Amino acid sequence: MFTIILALTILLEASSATIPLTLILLLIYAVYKNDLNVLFLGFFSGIFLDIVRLETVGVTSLYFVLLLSLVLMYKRKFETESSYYILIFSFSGVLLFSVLKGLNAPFIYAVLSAILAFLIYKTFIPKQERGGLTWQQK
Amino acid sequence: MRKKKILPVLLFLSLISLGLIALSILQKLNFAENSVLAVLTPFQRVILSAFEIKINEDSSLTELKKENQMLLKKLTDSSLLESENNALSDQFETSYPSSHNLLPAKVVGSPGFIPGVSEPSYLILDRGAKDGVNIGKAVVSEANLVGKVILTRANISKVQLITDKASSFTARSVSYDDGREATGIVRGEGLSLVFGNVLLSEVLKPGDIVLTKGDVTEEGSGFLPNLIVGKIVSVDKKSSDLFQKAKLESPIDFSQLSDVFIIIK
Repeated sequence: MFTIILALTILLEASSATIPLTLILLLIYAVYKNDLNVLFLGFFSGIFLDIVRLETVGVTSLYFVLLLSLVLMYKRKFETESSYYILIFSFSGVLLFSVLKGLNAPFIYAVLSAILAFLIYKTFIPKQERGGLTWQQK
Repeated sequence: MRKKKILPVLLFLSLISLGLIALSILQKLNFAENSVLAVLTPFQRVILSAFEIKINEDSSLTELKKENQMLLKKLTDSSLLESENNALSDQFETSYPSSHNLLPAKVVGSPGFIPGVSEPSYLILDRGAKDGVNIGKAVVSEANLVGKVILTRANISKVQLITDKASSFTARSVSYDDGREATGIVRGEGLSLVFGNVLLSEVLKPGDIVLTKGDVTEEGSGFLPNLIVGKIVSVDKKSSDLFQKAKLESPIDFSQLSDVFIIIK
Protein backbone atom coordinates (compact mmCIF):
# COMPACT_ATOMS: atom_id res chain seq x y z
CA MET A 1 0.00 0.00 0.00
CA PHE A 2 2.77 2.42 0.96
CA THR A 3 4.62 1.65 -2.30
CA ILE A 4 1.49 2.48 -4.34
CA ILE A 5 1.04 5.81 -2.53
CA LEU A 6 4.74 6.50 -3.05
CA ALA A 7 4.41 5.80 -6.79
CA LEU A 8 1.44 8.17 -6.96
CA THR A 9 3.34 10.96 -5.22
CA ILE A 10 6.24 10.50 -7.67
CA LEU A 11 3.84 10.86 -10.61
CA LEU A 12 2.16 13.82 -8.94
CA GLU A 13 5.50 15.54 -8.44
CA ALA A 14 6.47 14.78 -12.02
CA SER A 15 3.31 16.22 -13.52
CA SER A 16 1.68 18.75 -11.22
CA ALA A 17 3.24 19.53 -7.85
CA THR A 18 6.55 21.09 -6.83
CA ILE A 19 5.98 20.50 -3.12
CA PRO A 20 8.22 17.50 -2.23
CA LEU A 21 5.45 15.05 -1.30
CA THR A 22 7.66 11.99 -1.84
CA LEU A 23 10.23 13.28 0.63
CA ILE A 24 7.52 14.05 3.19
CA LEU A 25 6.07 10.57 2.82
CA LEU A 26 9.48 8.92 3.15
CA LEU A 27 10.28 10.96 6.26
CA ILE A 28 7.02 9.89 7.89
CA TYR A 29 7.69 6.26 6.99
CA ALA A 30 11.24 6.45 8.36
CA VAL A 31 10.11 7.86 11.69
CA TYR A 32 7.09 5.57 11.98
CA LYS A 33 8.69 2.27 10.93
CA ASN A 34 12.31 2.99 11.85
CA ASP A 35 13.15 0.47 9.12
CA LEU A 36 16.37 0.26 7.09
CA ASN A 37 14.37 -0.52 3.91
CA VAL A 38 13.31 3.13 3.76
CA LEU A 39 16.81 3.92 2.46
CA PHE A 40 16.23 1.67 -0.56
CA LEU A 41 12.78 3.16 -1.10
CA GLY A 42 14.32 6.65 -0.95
CA PHE A 43 17.05 5.63 -3.35
CA PHE A 44 14.68 4.24 -6.00
CA SER A 45 12.12 7.05 -5.55
CA GLY A 46 14.89 9.58 -6.10
CA ILE A 47 16.01 7.87 -9.30
CA PHE A 48 12.45 7.81 -10.70
CA LEU A 49 11.90 11.45 -9.72
CA ASP A 50 15.08 12.53 -11.49
CA ILE A 51 14.14 10.59 -14.63
CA VAL A 52 10.58 11.92 -14.94
CA ARG A 53 11.70 15.50 -14.24
CA LEU A 54 14.55 15.20 -16.78
CA GLU A 55 17.15 16.05 -14.15
CA THR A 56 20.60 14.57 -13.49
CA VAL A 57 19.90 11.01 -12.34
CA GLY A 58 21.20 10.25 -8.86
CA VAL A 59 21.10 13.72 -7.26
CA THR A 60 17.70 13.33 -5.61
CA SER A 61 18.36 9.73 -4.57
CA LEU A 62 21.64 10.76 -2.94
CA TYR A 63 19.87 13.53 -1.04
CA PHE A 64 17.04 11.21 0.06
CA VAL A 65 19.45 8.51 1.23
CA LEU A 66 21.56 10.97 3.23
CA LEU A 67 18.56 12.64 4.88
CA LEU A 68 16.77 9.40 5.70
CA SER A 69 19.98 7.95 7.16
CA LEU A 70 20.20 10.96 9.47
CA VAL A 71 16.58 10.44 10.50
CA LEU A 72 17.23 6.77 11.33
CA MET A 73 20.52 7.40 13.11
CA TYR A 74 19.43 10.22 15.34
CA LYS A 75 15.82 9.30 16.04
CA ARG A 76 16.50 7.79 19.45
CA LYS A 77 18.88 10.54 20.46
CA PHE A 78 16.07 13.07 20.49
CA GLU A 79 13.99 12.31 23.52
CA THR A 80 10.89 13.87 22.16
CA GLU A 81 7.64 12.73 20.59
CA SER A 82 8.03 11.56 16.99
CA SER A 83 5.58 14.09 15.56
CA TYR A 84 7.83 16.96 16.68
CA TYR A 85 10.82 15.09 15.31
CA ILE A 86 8.98 14.91 11.95
CA LEU A 87 8.24 18.62 12.15
CA ILE A 88 11.91 19.48 12.61
CA PHE A 89 13.24 17.07 9.98
CA SER A 90 10.64 17.85 7.32
CA PHE A 91 11.22 21.59 7.75
CA SER A 92 15.01 21.44 7.55
CA GLY A 93 15.02 18.64 4.95
CA VAL A 94 12.62 20.39 2.58
CA LEU A 95 14.27 23.79 3.11
CA LEU A 96 17.66 22.44 2.01
CA PHE A 97 16.06 20.41 -0.80
CA SER A 98 14.19 23.47 -2.14
CA VAL A 99 17.34 25.58 -2.05
CA LEU A 100 19.32 22.87 -3.87
CA LYS A 101 16.59 22.53 -6.51
CA GLY A 102 16.37 26.30 -6.95
CA LEU A 103 12.67 26.52 -6.14
CA ASN A 104 11.02 29.88 -5.59
CA ALA A 105 10.26 30.72 -1.96
CA PRO A 106 12.02 27.74 -0.29
CA PHE A 107 11.01 28.92 3.18
CA ILE A 108 7.32 28.72 2.30
CA TYR A 109 7.83 25.21 0.91
CA ALA A 110 9.59 24.19 4.12
CA VAL A 111 6.89 25.59 6.41
CA LEU A 112 4.06 24.05 4.38
CA SER A 113 5.83 20.69 4.16
CA ALA A 114 6.46 20.62 7.90
CA ILE A 115 2.79 21.38 8.61
CA LEU A 116 1.67 18.80 6.06
CA ALA A 117 3.99 16.10 7.43
CA PHE A 118 2.91 16.88 11.01
CA LEU A 119 -0.79 16.70 10.09
CA ILE A 120 -0.43 13.44 8.10
CA TYR A 121 1.48 11.84 10.96
CA LYS A 122 -1.01 12.98 13.59
CA THR A 123 -4.00 11.96 11.46
CA PHE A 124 -2.99 8.63 9.97
CA ILE A 125 -0.62 7.10 12.53
CA PRO A 126 -2.44 5.75 15.58
CA LYS A 127 -1.28 7.36 18.83
CA GLN A 128 -0.15 4.09 20.42
CA GLU A 129 1.97 3.28 17.36
CA ARG A 130 3.82 6.58 17.26
CA GLY A 131 7.46 6.07 18.20
CA GLY A 132 9.52 8.06 20.65
CA LEU A 133 8.78 9.02 24.18
CA THR A 134 5.72 11.06 24.97
CA TRP A 135 5.71 13.61 27.74
CA GLN A 136 3.56 11.28 29.84
CA GLN A 137 5.95 8.37 29.39
CA LYS A 138 8.88 10.54 30.42
CA MET B 1 18.65 1.88 15.03
CA ARG B 2 22.35 1.31 15.38
CA LYS B 3 24.73 3.24 13.20
CA LYS B 4 26.59 -0.02 12.46
CA LYS B 5 23.67 -1.26 10.40
CA ILE B 6 22.93 2.02 8.64
CA LEU B 7 26.43 3.11 7.63
CA PRO B 8 27.23 0.26 5.19
CA VAL B 9 23.86 0.69 3.42
CA LEU B 10 24.30 4.46 3.36
CA LEU B 11 27.79 4.11 1.89
CA PHE B 12 26.65 1.56 -0.69
CA LEU B 13 23.64 3.60 -1.91
CA SER B 14 25.62 6.85 -1.88
CA LEU B 15 28.33 5.33 -4.06
CA ILE B 16 25.73 4.02 -6.52
CA SER B 17 24.07 7.45 -6.60
CA LEU B 18 27.41 9.13 -7.31
CA GLY B 19 28.05 6.61 -10.07
CA LEU B 20 24.64 7.33 -11.57
CA ILE B 21 25.30 11.08 -11.41
CA ALA B 22 28.55 10.57 -13.34
CA LEU B 23 26.87 8.33 -15.94
CA SER B 24 23.97 10.75 -16.29
CA ILE B 25 26.28 13.72 -16.86
CA LEU B 26 28.13 11.67 -19.49
CA GLN B 27 24.72 10.85 -21.05
CA LYS B 28 25.28 7.10 -20.73
CA LEU B 29 21.86 6.53 -19.18
CA ASN B 30 19.76 7.88 -22.04
CA PHE B 31 18.45 4.47 -23.11
CA ALA B 32 17.33 3.54 -19.59
CA GLU B 33 15.80 6.99 -19.06
CA ASN B 34 13.91 6.85 -22.36
CA SER B 35 12.52 3.40 -21.50
CA VAL B 36 11.24 4.57 -18.12
CA LEU B 37 9.82 7.76 -19.64
CA ALA B 38 8.01 5.83 -22.36
CA VAL B 39 6.15 3.92 -19.64
CA LEU B 40 5.50 6.82 -17.29
CA THR B 41 4.58 9.66 -19.68
CA PRO B 42 0.97 8.48 -20.29
CA PHE B 43 0.41 8.31 -16.52
CA GLN B 44 1.82 11.82 -16.14
CA ARG B 45 -0.66 13.09 -18.71
CA VAL B 46 -3.57 11.42 -16.86
CA ILE B 47 -2.54 12.93 -13.53
CA LEU B 48 -2.02 16.37 -15.07
CA SER B 49 -5.45 16.32 -16.72
CA ALA B 50 -7.00 15.63 -13.31
CA PHE B 51 -5.63 18.98 -12.13
CA GLU B 52 -6.70 20.97 -15.18
CA ILE B 53 -9.13 23.09 -13.25
CA LYS B 54 -11.59 24.93 -15.43
CA ILE B 55 -12.35 28.14 -13.63
CA ASN B 56 -15.96 29.17 -14.11
CA GLU B 57 -15.38 32.70 -15.23
CA ASP B 58 -18.07 35.06 -16.33
CA SER B 59 -18.63 34.27 -20.04
CA SER B 60 -18.28 37.95 -21.00
CA LEU B 61 -14.92 38.09 -19.19
CA THR B 62 -13.71 35.01 -21.07
CA GLU B 63 -14.81 36.57 -24.35
CA LEU B 64 -13.04 39.82 -23.50
CA LYS B 65 -9.84 37.93 -22.70
CA LYS B 66 -10.00 36.11 -26.03
CA GLU B 67 -10.71 39.35 -27.84
CA ASN B 68 -7.79 41.00 -26.07
CA GLN B 69 -5.41 38.23 -27.20
CA MET B 70 -6.75 38.42 -30.73
CA LEU B 71 -6.31 42.20 -30.85
CA LEU B 72 -2.80 41.90 -29.50
CA LYS B 73 -1.96 39.47 -32.27
CA LYS B 74 -3.55 41.72 -34.88
CA LEU B 75 -1.52 44.69 -33.66
CA THR B 76 1.69 42.72 -33.95
CA ASP B 77 0.77 41.41 -37.35
CA SER B 78 0.01 44.91 -38.61
CA SER B 79 3.35 46.14 -37.29
CA LEU B 80 5.07 43.38 -39.20
CA LEU B 81 3.17 44.24 -42.33
CA GLU B 82 4.25 47.86 -42.11
CA SER B 83 7.89 46.93 -41.86
CA GLU B 84 7.75 44.52 -44.76
CA ASN B 85 7.05 45.07 -48.38
CA ASN B 86 3.29 45.63 -48.51
CA ALA B 87 2.81 44.18 -51.95
CA LEU B 88 4.72 41.01 -51.09
CA SER B 89 2.81 40.54 -47.86
CA ASP B 90 -0.53 40.99 -49.61
CA GLN B 91 0.41 38.48 -52.23
CA PHE B 92 1.37 35.69 -49.87
CA GLU B 93 -0.83 36.67 -46.91
CA THR B 94 1.80 35.58 -44.46
CA SER B 95 0.86 34.63 -40.96
CA TYR B 96 3.47 34.55 -38.22
CA PRO B 97 5.05 32.25 -37.20
CA SER B 98 4.48 30.10 -40.23
CA SER B 99 2.53 26.93 -39.48
CA HIS B 100 5.05 24.95 -41.57
CA ASN B 101 7.66 25.55 -38.88
CA LEU B 102 5.49 24.60 -35.94
CA LEU B 103 5.40 21.25 -34.22
CA PRO B 104 2.34 20.73 -32.01
CA ALA B 105 3.05 19.34 -28.56
CA LYS B 106 1.01 18.38 -25.53
CA VAL B 107 1.98 19.40 -22.02
CA VAL B 108 2.45 16.23 -19.96
CA GLY B 109 3.96 17.88 -16.90
CA SER B 110 3.73 21.36 -15.39
CA PRO B 111 4.63 21.15 -11.71
CA GLY B 112 3.55 24.16 -9.68
CA PHE B 113 3.10 25.10 -6.04
CA ILE B 114 -0.62 24.31 -6.11
CA PRO B 115 -1.34 21.84 -8.94
CA GLY B 116 -3.44 23.36 -11.72
CA VAL B 117 -3.70 26.75 -10.02
CA SER B 118 -0.29 28.33 -9.47
CA GLU B 119 2.20 29.11 -12.20
CA PRO B 120 4.31 26.05 -13.12
CA SER B 121 8.09 26.07 -12.69
CA TYR B 122 8.65 24.43 -16.08
CA LEU B 123 6.80 22.35 -18.69
CA ILE B 124 7.36 18.80 -19.88
CA LEU B 125 6.21 18.21 -23.48
CA ASP B 126 5.42 14.94 -25.25
CA ARG B 127 7.83 15.70 -28.12
CA GLY B 128 11.53 14.97 -28.09
CA ALA B 129 14.67 14.47 -30.11
CA LYS B 130 12.94 11.88 -32.33
CA ASP B 131 10.55 14.62 -33.51
CA GLY B 132 13.40 16.98 -34.32
CA VAL B 133 13.25 18.97 -31.09
CA ASN B 134 16.64 20.35 -30.04
CA ILE B 135 17.83 22.37 -27.08
CA GLY B 136 17.18 26.09 -27.50
CA LYS B 137 14.07 25.82 -29.69
CA ALA B 138 11.36 28.36 -28.92
CA VAL B 139 7.96 27.26 -27.65
CA VAL B 140 4.90 29.34 -28.44
CA SER B 141 1.16 29.40 -27.95
CA GLU B 142 -0.29 31.18 -30.99
CA ALA B 143 2.10 34.13 -31.44
CA ASN B 144 2.79 34.35 -27.69
CA LEU B 145 6.17 33.25 -26.38
CA VAL B 146 6.04 30.47 -23.77
CA GLY B 147 9.71 29.58 -23.31
CA LYS B 148 12.51 27.51 -24.76
CA VAL B 149 13.53 23.87 -24.74
CA ILE B 150 16.37 23.25 -22.28
CA LEU B 151 16.51 19.43 -22.25
CA THR B 152 15.48 16.69 -24.63
CA ARG B 153 15.10 12.94 -24.50
CA ALA B 154 13.87 10.68 -27.30
CA ASN B 155 10.14 11.35 -26.81
CA ILE B 156 10.00 14.13 -24.28
CA SER B 157 11.45 17.58 -23.66
CA LYS B 158 11.69 20.12 -20.84
CA VAL B 159 10.77 23.76 -21.38
CA GLN B 160 12.13 26.69 -19.40
CA LEU B 161 9.35 29.27 -19.11
CA ILE B 162 10.06 32.92 -19.84
CA THR B 163 9.11 33.64 -16.21
CA ASP B 164 11.94 31.40 -14.95
CA LYS B 165 14.66 33.23 -13.01
CA ALA B 166 17.32 31.87 -15.36
CA SER B 167 15.51 33.15 -18.45
CA SER B 168 16.65 36.35 -20.17
CA PHE B 169 16.58 37.54 -23.77
CA THR B 170 16.63 40.73 -25.80
CA ALA B 171 13.32 42.35 -26.62
CA ARG B 172 11.80 45.59 -27.86
CA SER B 173 8.77 47.50 -26.73
CA VAL B 174 6.39 48.91 -29.30
CA SER B 175 3.76 51.57 -28.86
CA TYR B 176 0.91 51.37 -31.33
CA ASP B 177 -0.20 54.92 -30.48
CA ASP B 178 2.86 56.84 -31.64
CA GLY B 179 5.23 54.17 -32.98
CA ARG B 180 7.74 54.52 -30.13
CA GLU B 181 10.23 51.68 -29.78
CA ALA B 182 12.72 50.81 -27.06
CA THR B 183 15.19 47.97 -26.71
CA GLY B 184 15.97 46.10 -23.52
CA ILE B 185 16.28 42.73 -21.85
CA VAL B 186 13.36 40.64 -20.55
CA ARG B 187 14.14 38.66 -17.40
CA GLY B 188 12.03 36.16 -15.56
CA GLU B 189 11.48 36.79 -11.88
CA GLY B 190 10.02 33.45 -10.89
CA LEU B 191 6.38 34.37 -11.32
CA SER B 192 6.56 37.64 -13.23
CA LEU B 193 8.47 39.31 -16.06
CA VAL B 194 10.61 42.44 -16.06
CA PHE B 195 11.68 44.43 -19.11
CA GLY B 196 14.96 46.05 -17.99
CA ASN B 197 18.17 47.61 -19.25
CA VAL B 198 16.16 50.24 -21.12
CA LEU B 199 17.94 53.58 -21.54
CA LEU B 200 16.48 56.48 -19.57
CA SER B 201 16.18 58.47 -22.78
CA GLU B 202 13.63 55.96 -24.09
CA VAL B 203 9.94 56.29 -23.25
CA LEU B 204 8.02 53.35 -21.82
CA LYS B 205 4.33 53.53 -21.01
CA PRO B 206 1.81 51.07 -19.54
CA GLY B 207 0.03 49.37 -22.41
CA ASP B 208 3.09 49.15 -24.68
CA ILE B 209 3.61 45.69 -26.16
CA VAL B 210 6.94 43.90 -25.72
CA LEU B 211 8.11 41.63 -28.55
CA THR B 212 11.20 39.44 -28.98
CA LYS B 213 14.03 41.11 -30.83
CA GLY B 214 15.25 37.86 -32.34
CA ASP B 215 18.37 35.95 -31.33
CA VAL B 216 18.34 32.84 -33.50
CA THR B 217 21.77 31.20 -33.75
CA GLU B 218 23.36 29.37 -36.67
CA GLU B 219 22.12 26.07 -35.21
CA GLY B 220 18.57 27.38 -35.30
CA SER B 221 18.10 27.77 -31.57
CA GLY B 222 16.80 30.93 -29.94
CA PHE B 223 13.78 33.15 -30.38
CA LEU B 224 12.49 34.46 -33.68
CA PRO B 225 11.76 38.19 -33.79
CA ASN B 226 8.31 39.65 -33.10
CA LEU B 227 6.91 36.97 -30.84
CA ILE B 228 4.65 38.51 -28.19
CA VAL B 229 6.21 38.52 -24.72
CA GLY B 230 3.67 40.66 -22.87
CA LYS B 231 2.21 44.04 -22.13
CA ILE B 232 3.77 46.69 -19.88
CA VAL B 233 1.70 47.17 -16.73
CA SER B 234 3.95 49.53 -14.75
CA VAL B 235 7.15 51.50 -15.33
CA ASP B 236 9.94 52.07 -12.80
CA LYS B 237 11.99 55.07 -13.94
CA LYS B 238 14.38 56.89 -11.57
CA SER B 239 16.70 59.64 -12.74
CA SER B 240 19.43 58.34 -10.40
CA ASP B 241 19.49 54.92 -12.09
CA LEU B 242 21.39 54.01 -15.25
CA PHE B 243 18.43 52.20 -16.76
CA GLN B 244 14.67 52.08 -16.38
CA LYS B 245 12.58 48.92 -16.13
CA ALA B 246 8.99 47.87 -16.52
CA LYS B 247 6.80 45.08 -15.21
CA LEU B 248 5.21 42.90 -17.87
CA GLU B 249 2.08 40.82 -17.98
CA SER B 250 2.09 37.83 -20.31
CA PRO B 251 -1.16 37.15 -22.18
CA ILE B 252 -0.68 33.45 -21.38
CA ASP B 253 -2.05 31.66 -18.34
CA PHE B 254 0.84 29.21 -17.93
CA SER B 255 -1.04 27.08 -15.39
CA GLN B 256 -3.76 26.28 -17.95
CA LEU B 257 -1.54 25.47 -20.92
CA SER B 258 -2.29 22.06 -22.39
CA ASP B 259 -1.22 22.45 -26.03
CA VAL B 260 1.75 24.42 -27.34
CA PHE B 261 3.88 24.61 -30.48
CA ILE B 262 7.62 24.20 -30.89
CA ILE B 263 9.27 26.29 -33.61
CA ILE B 264 11.50 23.70 -35.22
CA LYS B 265 12.98 25.65 -38.15
